[in-house]
Amino acid sequence: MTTRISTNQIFDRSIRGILDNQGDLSDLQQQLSTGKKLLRPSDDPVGAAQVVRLTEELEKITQYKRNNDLLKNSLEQEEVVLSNINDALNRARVLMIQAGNGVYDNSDRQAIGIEIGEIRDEVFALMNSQNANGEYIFAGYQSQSPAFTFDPSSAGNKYNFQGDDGVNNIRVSDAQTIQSNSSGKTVFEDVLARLTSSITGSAGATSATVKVTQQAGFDLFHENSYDAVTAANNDYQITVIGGGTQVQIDNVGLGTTVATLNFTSGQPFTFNGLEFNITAPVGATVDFQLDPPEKKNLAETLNDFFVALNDESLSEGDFQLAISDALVGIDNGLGSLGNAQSALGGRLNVAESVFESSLDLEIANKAARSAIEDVDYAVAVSELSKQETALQAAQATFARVTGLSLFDFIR
Amino acid sequence: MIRSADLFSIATSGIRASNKLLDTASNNIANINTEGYVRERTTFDAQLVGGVGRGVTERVINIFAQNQLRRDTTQVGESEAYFQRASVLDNIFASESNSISSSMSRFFGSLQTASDEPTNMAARQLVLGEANSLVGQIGTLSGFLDDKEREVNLEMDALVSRANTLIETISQLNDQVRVTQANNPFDEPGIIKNERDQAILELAELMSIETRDNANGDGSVMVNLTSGESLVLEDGSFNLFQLGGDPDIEYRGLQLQSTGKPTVLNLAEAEVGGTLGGIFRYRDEILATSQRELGQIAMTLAAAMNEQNGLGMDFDQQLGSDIFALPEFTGLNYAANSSSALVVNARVDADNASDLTSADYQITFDAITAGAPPTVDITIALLNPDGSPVTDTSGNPVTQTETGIPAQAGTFTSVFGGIEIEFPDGAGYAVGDQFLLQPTKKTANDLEVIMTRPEDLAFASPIRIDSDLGNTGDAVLVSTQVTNTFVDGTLADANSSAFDGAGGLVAGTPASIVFNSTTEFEVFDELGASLVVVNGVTDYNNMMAQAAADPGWPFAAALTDFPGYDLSLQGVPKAGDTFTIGYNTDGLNDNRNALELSGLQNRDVILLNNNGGTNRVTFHESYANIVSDIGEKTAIADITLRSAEAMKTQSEDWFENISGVNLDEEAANLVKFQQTYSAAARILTTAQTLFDTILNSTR
Repeated sequence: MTTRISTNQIFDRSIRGILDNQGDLSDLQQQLSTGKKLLRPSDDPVGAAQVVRLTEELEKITQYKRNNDLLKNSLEQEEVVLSNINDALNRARVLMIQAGNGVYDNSDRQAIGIEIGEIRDEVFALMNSQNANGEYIFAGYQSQSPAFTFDPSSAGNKYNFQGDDGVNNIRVSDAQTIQSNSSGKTVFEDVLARLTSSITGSAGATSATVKVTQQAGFDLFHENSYDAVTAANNDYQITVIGGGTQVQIDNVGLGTTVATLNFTSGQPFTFNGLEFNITAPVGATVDFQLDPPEKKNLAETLNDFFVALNDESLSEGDFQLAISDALVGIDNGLGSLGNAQSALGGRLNVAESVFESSLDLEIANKAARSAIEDVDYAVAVSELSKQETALQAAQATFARVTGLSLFDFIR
Repeated sequence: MIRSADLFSIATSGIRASNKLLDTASNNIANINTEGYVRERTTFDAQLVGGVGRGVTERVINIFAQNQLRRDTTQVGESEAYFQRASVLDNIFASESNSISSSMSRFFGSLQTASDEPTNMAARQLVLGEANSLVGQIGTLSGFLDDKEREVNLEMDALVSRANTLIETISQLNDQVRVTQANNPFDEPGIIKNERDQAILELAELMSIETRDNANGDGSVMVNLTSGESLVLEDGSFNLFQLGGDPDIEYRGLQLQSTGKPTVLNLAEAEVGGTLGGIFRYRDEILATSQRELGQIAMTLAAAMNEQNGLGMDFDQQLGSDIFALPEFTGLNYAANSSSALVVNARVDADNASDLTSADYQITFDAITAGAPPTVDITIALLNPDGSPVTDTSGNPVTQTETGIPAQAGTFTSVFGGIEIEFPDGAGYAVGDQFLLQPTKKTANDLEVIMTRPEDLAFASPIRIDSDLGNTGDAVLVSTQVTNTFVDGTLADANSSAFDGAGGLVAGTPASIVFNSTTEFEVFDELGASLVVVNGVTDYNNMMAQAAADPGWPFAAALTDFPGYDLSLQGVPKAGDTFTIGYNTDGLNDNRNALELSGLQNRDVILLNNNGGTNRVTFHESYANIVSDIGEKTAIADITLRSAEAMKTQSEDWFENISGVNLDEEAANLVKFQQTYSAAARILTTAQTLFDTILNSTR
């Protein structure tokens, strides 16, 4: 039994075949012209969500790269400033050692003083470096005003830090932020001046002096013994005992005997890098203290030395002390500078390696996104010609199938 | 042999019969392009007395093929309505020009650029520009969805009125069939029945229906919904549809109204089937949910940004203010409430914005207690857009009871689900009154950027910790956090922080931390008075939290988040080491809060689903989920539509195979009936000749 088929069905079926083919062909054409095989999310819902995420990732990476550039700029600027200061300080250090040369007279010292003054001003200017936006890069968060001020009339330190501890971080990846600036407080201000000791009083002694002769030994003693909370623990008393041949050194606050040393009145003796010169009979006492550690920034240290060089009234001993102060201050400053520089270098290295991995990630994400949404031209083009053939066939058969009618034969 | 008719009458009946057959064939040919035409066939019985009897003309139809076609038409109607609308949203959400995703990326990108240089005004200005563009983009998309909702409502109006017209038409045609058939039992009233079948098919496209022939055989048909409700009844009466919405008049439900009776029946909209059911399903499954999910992203993002900006210090050295204006929304009053004048207002709780769900919140009053102010006990139930309860992972409805909420104008109380509610009518509510809050449905459209000055972006942290230059230990500050900047100088409010809102910290609050040893620290106020000594310190993280946990902490335990900031140190402190705590005066180059703001991009802030779980995702992830959700539903709808269309093609073929006109067949019939006509005419000639023969023979 053959299936009965209505005339309308013959037309409908032929038309449906053509329309379906046209729809597929149009989709393929759109894919080829846009280069995307993901024309709408329903084509691949999971892929579409991935594309949204990957695009976000890529946009973030672009931003991170931009952040990284800014970060490197600011780190490099800081590096340049620090290395300039380093050079200046090394020159200053040479001059200081030169100045200690005993044959130099006042006018030679003044000549050195002129150069030290120049170096001081240069270092001061560098400590107040500004970036392209006019921000003082070493002032911490308060970057609108200079990091350091100079007040010649000040009784204490004349170069003072005005900023704060603040440091900023810049985000360079989802997981990582890198510090983009250093506070002048850490780099320049938090530098120990030479540690010292001083005589605070005496009873029954004709004279008593103290000076640091072995700085390293004294520094160690100071560091281990200094008590920031209880001031009395930093006070010591020397008592002449044993018929004038010995001295006993006691810690006043703790009441303990620290040392018993041989003594000859008028002859120097050393205790932990300190050289005492005391003229006193038995029973006399001399009080001395560990001076509180003082912080001096580089400009201040240079300025102190500049003043000493120009002070003609300064005794030779005091001048030597000034040189010691200056050398220790500069060395401590160079140490702090070195720390800051190596930290900078480390950050630059990290920034560079994060940048590299950002580039890798970018390529990986782009490839992943492309795999999901970009059209494979070879596949699409061959599919296109296949559909084209199918459409042509449908169109060609339409005329033949629908053109047949019995009425044409009934005459 | 009882044939009593003569040749003449046989010939006449034959001619008449052939004529009738030619009529039928011609009618079939003529109606080949008539929509809904069913081919007809005339059948004859031989007469007992000879000749052919009166012919009966009937439609050639298979009732099973017809019913199958109706069912498949319903299926295609539903799939097509669903797919066509879904595919519009499918493209809108993902297209690059409309995507919220790229707007969000640009906004967060601008925040990062600005955070790299916190003092750069142009970069700050760009953040506000991008914020405006983001809000504009959200508004455009959300406005588009609102338009779609309106469109759906208009379409429903049109479809319901069309369905009602069809129901009425079917009922009227039933009457006509009944009358015509009674008048002429020989000829089926094919034209009227075709018209009725056409109306039924059209109704079947709109909704899923079933038909049944009247048992008394009068030719009329009964129509009812597949779910059982009668539309066209036996007695000639019929029921009509209407649309209602309680409490959301824009969210309409389908009801059936009996003619002349006050009964109104609520129907399960998504099960209606057909175009109408498809639109209802599209509305419930795609439109309403994406509208709310978009709203959830917008509200959560805005609230989280506001919250974080409030924890910072702006370029004018004030505590941060709001970037976005979050709209307030009014609860929808249920029709059964004690008074239609009662009002419940709500807004998103900026502190708990990440608890906001995309559900609707139904508030039911459990108790009202008089007092100054009066308090109310309420139950909050989370509802899906279609009004069904949201269920948790074990299948129980998600609800929360809140008691003793002050009910007075101007008091917003934070409740379950990241919102704050105001009950301005005090004791005026009645137990059992219900309100529907829709925090995410339309609010995305009303979101605005209120910040106009780039200086107001709070990129700095309001707190600054400085180490004392005389510190001898190597402890250094590693991080600070600010969690609360609520200002109340008297610290009476439980939410108070240590910030005084005037560029400083409240007097008598911590101003420095001094280590007495590596394991003990002491907190002092700004006058140097000791506040607390903390011993047995093993690590230096969250120093304030450690101090606040000490029994000696002098501040009220009621203060929930005080002092509102914290700091962590690293390294080993020595006795005497001091860290001073102060307001970040002049700290304009600080970008700590800017990093927090831009960091929101990577934070899991938005609730993944409404089922009471705490899984959260990022803003972008949440948006990607909307895109893939719509894409998935559209893809499924596409497949359903294709298969429904294939089914319909088959049942159409089945129906057409039986009832369609074939021109070749009719051509052959024409030839054949022409020949039978000639043959019958020939009988007449023969009879004539015979008659003449007899006549001549008798002459």
